Amino acid sequence: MTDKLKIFENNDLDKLYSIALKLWNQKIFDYYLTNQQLIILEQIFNNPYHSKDYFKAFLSSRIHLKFTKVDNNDGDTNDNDNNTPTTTSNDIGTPSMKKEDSIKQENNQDQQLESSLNESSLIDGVEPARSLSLKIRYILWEKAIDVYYNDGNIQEYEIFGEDDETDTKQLESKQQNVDIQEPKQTRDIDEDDDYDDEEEEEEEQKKEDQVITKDSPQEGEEIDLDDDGNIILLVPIATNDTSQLDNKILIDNFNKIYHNFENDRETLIKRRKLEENDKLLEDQSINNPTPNNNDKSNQSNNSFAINLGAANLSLKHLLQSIDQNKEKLNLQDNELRQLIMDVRKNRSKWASDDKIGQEELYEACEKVIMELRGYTEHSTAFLNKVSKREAPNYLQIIKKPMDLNTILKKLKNFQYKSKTEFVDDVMLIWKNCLTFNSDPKHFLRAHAIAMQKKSLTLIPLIPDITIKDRSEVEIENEDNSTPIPSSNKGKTTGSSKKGTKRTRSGEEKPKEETPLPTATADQQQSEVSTPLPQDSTKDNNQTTDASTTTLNQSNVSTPNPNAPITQGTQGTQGNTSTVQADTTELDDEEQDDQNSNEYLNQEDNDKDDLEIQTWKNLTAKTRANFCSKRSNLFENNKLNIENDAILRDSTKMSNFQSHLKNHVEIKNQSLNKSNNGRNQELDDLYLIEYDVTGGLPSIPYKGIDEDELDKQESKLIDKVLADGLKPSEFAPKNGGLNKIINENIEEMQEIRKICFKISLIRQMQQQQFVHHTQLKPPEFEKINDSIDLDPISRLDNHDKFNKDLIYFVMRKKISKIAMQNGFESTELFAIDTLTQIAGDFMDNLTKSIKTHLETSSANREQKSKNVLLLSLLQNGLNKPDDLHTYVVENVLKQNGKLKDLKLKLSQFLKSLLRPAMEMNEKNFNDNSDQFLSGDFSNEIGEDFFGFKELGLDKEFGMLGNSLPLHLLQSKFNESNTSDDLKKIHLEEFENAPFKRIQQDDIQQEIGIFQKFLNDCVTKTKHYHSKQLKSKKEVNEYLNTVKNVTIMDDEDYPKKQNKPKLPPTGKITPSKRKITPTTFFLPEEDEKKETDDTNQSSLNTIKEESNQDDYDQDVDDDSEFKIKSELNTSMNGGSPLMTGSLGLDSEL
Amino acid sequence: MNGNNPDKYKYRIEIQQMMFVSGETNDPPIETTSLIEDIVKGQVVEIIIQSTRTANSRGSKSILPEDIIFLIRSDKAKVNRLRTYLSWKDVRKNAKDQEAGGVEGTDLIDDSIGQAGKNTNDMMKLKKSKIRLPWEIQFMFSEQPLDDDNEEPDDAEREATLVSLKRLKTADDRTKNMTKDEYVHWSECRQASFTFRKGRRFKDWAGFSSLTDGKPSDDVIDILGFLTFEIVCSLTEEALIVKQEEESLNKLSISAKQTNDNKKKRKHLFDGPDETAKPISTDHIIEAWRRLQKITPAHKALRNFRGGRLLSTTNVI
Repeated sequence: MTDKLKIFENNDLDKLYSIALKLWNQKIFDYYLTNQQLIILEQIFNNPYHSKDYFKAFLSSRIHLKFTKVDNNDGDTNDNDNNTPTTTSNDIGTPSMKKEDSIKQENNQDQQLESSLNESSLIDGVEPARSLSLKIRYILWEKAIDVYYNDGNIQEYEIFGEDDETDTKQLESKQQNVDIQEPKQTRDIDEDDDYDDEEEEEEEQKKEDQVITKDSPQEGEEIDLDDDGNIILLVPIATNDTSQLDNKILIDNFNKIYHNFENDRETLIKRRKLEENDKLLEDQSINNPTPNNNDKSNQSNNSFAINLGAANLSLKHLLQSIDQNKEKLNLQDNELRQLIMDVRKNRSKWASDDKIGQEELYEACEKVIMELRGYTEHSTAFLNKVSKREAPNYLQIIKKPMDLNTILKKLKNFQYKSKTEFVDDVMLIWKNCLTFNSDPKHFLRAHAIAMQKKSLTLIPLIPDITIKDRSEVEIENEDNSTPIPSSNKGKTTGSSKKGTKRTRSGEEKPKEETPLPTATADQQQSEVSTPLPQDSTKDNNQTTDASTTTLNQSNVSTPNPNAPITQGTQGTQGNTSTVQADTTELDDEEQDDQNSNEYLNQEDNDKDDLEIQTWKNLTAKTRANFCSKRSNLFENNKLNIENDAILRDSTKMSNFQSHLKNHVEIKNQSLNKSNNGRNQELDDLYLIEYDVTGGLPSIPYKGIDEDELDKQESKLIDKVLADGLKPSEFAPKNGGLNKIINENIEEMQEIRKICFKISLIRQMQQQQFVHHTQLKPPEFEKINDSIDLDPISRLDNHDKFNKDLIYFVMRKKISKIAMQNGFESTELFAIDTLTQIAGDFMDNLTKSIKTHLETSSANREQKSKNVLLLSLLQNGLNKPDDLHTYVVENVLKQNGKLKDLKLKLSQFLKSLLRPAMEMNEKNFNDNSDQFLSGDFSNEIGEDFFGFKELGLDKEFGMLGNSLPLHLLQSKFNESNTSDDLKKIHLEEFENAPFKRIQQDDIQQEIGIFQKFLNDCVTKTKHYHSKQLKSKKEVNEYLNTVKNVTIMDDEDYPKKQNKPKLPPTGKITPSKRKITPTTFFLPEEDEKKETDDTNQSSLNTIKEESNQDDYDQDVDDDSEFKIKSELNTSMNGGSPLMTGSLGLDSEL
Repeated sequence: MNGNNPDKYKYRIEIQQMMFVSGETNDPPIETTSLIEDIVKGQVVEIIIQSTRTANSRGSKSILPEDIIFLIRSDKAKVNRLRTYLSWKDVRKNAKDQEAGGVEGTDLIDDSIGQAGKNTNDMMKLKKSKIRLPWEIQFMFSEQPLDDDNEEPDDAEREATLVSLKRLKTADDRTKNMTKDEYVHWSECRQASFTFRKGRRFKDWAGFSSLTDGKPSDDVIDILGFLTFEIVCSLTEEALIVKQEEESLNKLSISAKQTNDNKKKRKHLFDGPDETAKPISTDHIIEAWRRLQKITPAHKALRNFRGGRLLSTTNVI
């Protein structure tokens, strides 16, 4: 144990390294460090050769961090770039860089201060590494326990230690070397050297020199050391995503930051100044462009009166040409405007048709300027021009004054032609400041340098574009294209027209712009004359007291623009103002300036802490807003009730939520991934008050996660499997009302079947032809009550009161009720509607019960029974008795009625099918006439009495309605639907297998039947023997065959047709033939069709058949024989026979 | 309330009789009868309009008895009574026909006189069961049994029987204390009808020609006669209840008054009788009308907790 502690006491770097490496491998650092810090560590640990050396140097704060900016695309290959000097990706910035260098050389002495003021998250040098190393030491100290005890890998650790000892020795000497230099605490000079190739190279040389002097590492790679002997660690960082990404990752830790608004006066004041500045700028811009706008629109758009506001400026020419060609267009003014607005939406205020590239350049420039202005920590001093009052000799020293607002104005007046111009101006500001305030201790220098750094990071974002006038470009193009043949003359002239127009507008432009500079000049003058606090901030410390006092005296007379606001904060500022003892006679404003200056002077104590830095940056604006709001509440040292409360804005809230979400997502992405989509508008996205869960500790209860749920469910499933599946409560119960309703529905379906049969018979009686599709019985689906929830949903942990589920169950029940009330099928939509109505009703019922139970009324119903009755009454049920009556009369009684009806209908059907069979008692009672009068004619057959013979066949149609069905048998045959009909009537015989009876089986049959069967056997034998040729064979056969399978009647060949005698006893073959031919006409027709495929009309067939009949009379035609045989076999030969056959088939 | 126009009100006597039947023992004033007549007229017009609508949706122009019965289908007791009424009417008509020129019938009866009664009974049954309403269960199917002769499936629905029993009870109560003559008068009054033997007058009165295109059948007129009788009866009954309530209220107030000025109320010899039974006044009728037109909770059940305008037509009493 003590050994282990000693590691820390003695600062045993080797062992610390091994611990750290372990921790690194366990990813423990991930929890404590920001991504950026992690990158540095990664560089240290992942170095294949020198990781240990680096780490040691790092821990003893001898490392010099150097950030190389790498394009996003190369990000992945960075690991190998450690020692190769990477060139910066932003060549664009080189001209400015050179200036930058010159500045630096001028101000060499100030470098210390500069480096100490490093603000941005990308800091090269020793300092941040030092702070990081402290942090890592702390983590090591705290987390070493994990390594020791959690893993139980102490032995492994020892092994590590042994291994490392050899290395330590090697490094010992070097360390000593370095140690000598360390106390100096020198700082690195070159923040910007990664932008400068030359310096880099120089440094390289230096390093190499130093490396040579020491015993350099063997493995071919070199450890870079800077001038002071600190090891240089090159950390590649993707250019775009560093700061932003960092910010986002840092947000996670923001809720750990403790911040007091009392410290926020500084931000507030700075913010306010910026805002005032903005306002001022706005005023100017309002004054300037509007007249132009109006002029132009008036000039060009007299007829085309579409007010597009500022758009007119940029779209002027488009509008003009549209106006000229308006006749050719088929568009209305409205539509046009819509079109133009659509197009314009994507364009910024910088867009211009004349200037190529202007939009892009100015867009970027504006962003940079706004960013710089928004960097309130440092930007305040550079917003406005340095006034004469502040620094009387300023103009003597600085030849070309420049400030942020001037740049903005120039931007707005389109005075920049290229990026370089813009960058020059920006850099000029810092340069001016640094030259004017040559004193290295001066506070403004720090700000200037910070701003410089910031601008250097921003400038690469501006595309390198030189704006060209379109007319020039076009002229160039036209020059190129002059040899174009005259075939497309019209086109060229058109374009030249445009060209002239543009040149004209080009002429216009300078004219119009001329008033602008003067106006701005005026503005500037007025600006100078108005005492803006920012103006005076710069020189206070520098100029003598006397000069300030004089200045202040002059200030006294001027109006005080921000007095009311500052007064509010005045009270709290009392303390600080007293510090500045010698400025007691200053007025409020001056005091304010002083204060702000003081804030500028204040160095950030926590500059190393990246988190707090970022946090401050991100929240500057919101904090300022919040403070001002808050101060409004406490104005005049009392609580102002009338003022607006500080409330959260819902839209901002959602913004913030999505913002947080975003950044969590981004955190999950790998670090080097390109992140171009991110913009820089984040700075006011982070709002303190919207971080609702900010200071709250996390809740230890994590809730139930998926696995837990799965486990529970599987347990339940096991239980269910053991116990067997139970039907859910939604499954329809078999019994009670449900059973009766089901019965009812089934009854109805059967009744419908019977009805179908009846109607079919009716149809056949009335029409001669029945299409076979009409013979198809309607199909009814049986009610399937076995449908239930799926087994999983039946588990206890599933919500039974799911709205959708209930809805579907309800719908099923309701459709059942609908069926019970006689609907064969229902439209889904209708059922849905019904279900919803039913749902509404139930809803109302429960609601009224609820209101009655929960009412605070004095005469509330006490008894729950009464409540129920009352609710029922209110929802349309006078008494519960009604429900009973409904069930009794509409369900139970209906059941009886349906059964009754079914019985009646089936009787009706039977009577339709076989009227003669109803020879029961009832017939004797009711229709006794039949027996008396012998009125069987209908049943027996038409021709029994020889009606045909008497020529009464014309009455056939009249009598048709009462024709018994068996006479219509031919129709079934004819329409080839006998199978269908069999299905209806003989369902039960359809698939019944009949065994062929064999000789041996005869004994088992009934006694009476045996004789017949024996006869059949002999018959079969006889038949078989007949087929054989010689008698010998016959005898053989008769002897050998024992078990003969009895042949069916169908198997025998057809017998010869024998004329049959009708009951009359007369032999009248011709007569007999006439009847069936007329009656079975369609059949004949089909026969014809099969014989010879020509189709002939009905009449011709009739004639033909008649002819046939007569032919047949004359001679025994063989063909006729077959035909008649067919007829007889089908129709039984005589009407009487048909009758009996028909009956059989029906039976 | 112009009760003096003799042309306008034609059913004063009938209404009086009907009111007497339903319990109003006094002679109602002309205003009351005229008001009732107005109401009845309105109801008849409403019935005709509504049933024409159903007839139109059925596809025919003229009203069938079913269309009118359909309007009152929810009142099962009334439907039942109407049915029996119609069937008996049929029976009577047939009997008349037979008496007039039924040759075959007499032949049969001649054969066996003892069977005659039975035969007519059969006839009655046959005819009686003919009144079938299209919303009955057998019409749910495409085919109906043709020969459904013998059975009378209307084993009087529960509700209907209950109501008819109640009716009989009230009628019994009313006639309990009557003398023979009074009872005769009462039963004569029961014959009162708007339509019986004055179908033409009724049609003119209700303005049939302007309401429907088709010519209403005799059955329709008979049904309307039956319904008008029912309307007057229920109005009177309701009005009687109203009157009773009013009287009990008055009694309360009078008794309260009497306690105050007991001395002042002294009875003299020639004072009129204390409680003269007053006939039903128009106020009672109006109140009764209001009550009968009240929207039942069943009608507005779905509008509960929801609001919205409740569309309602005049209730057919």
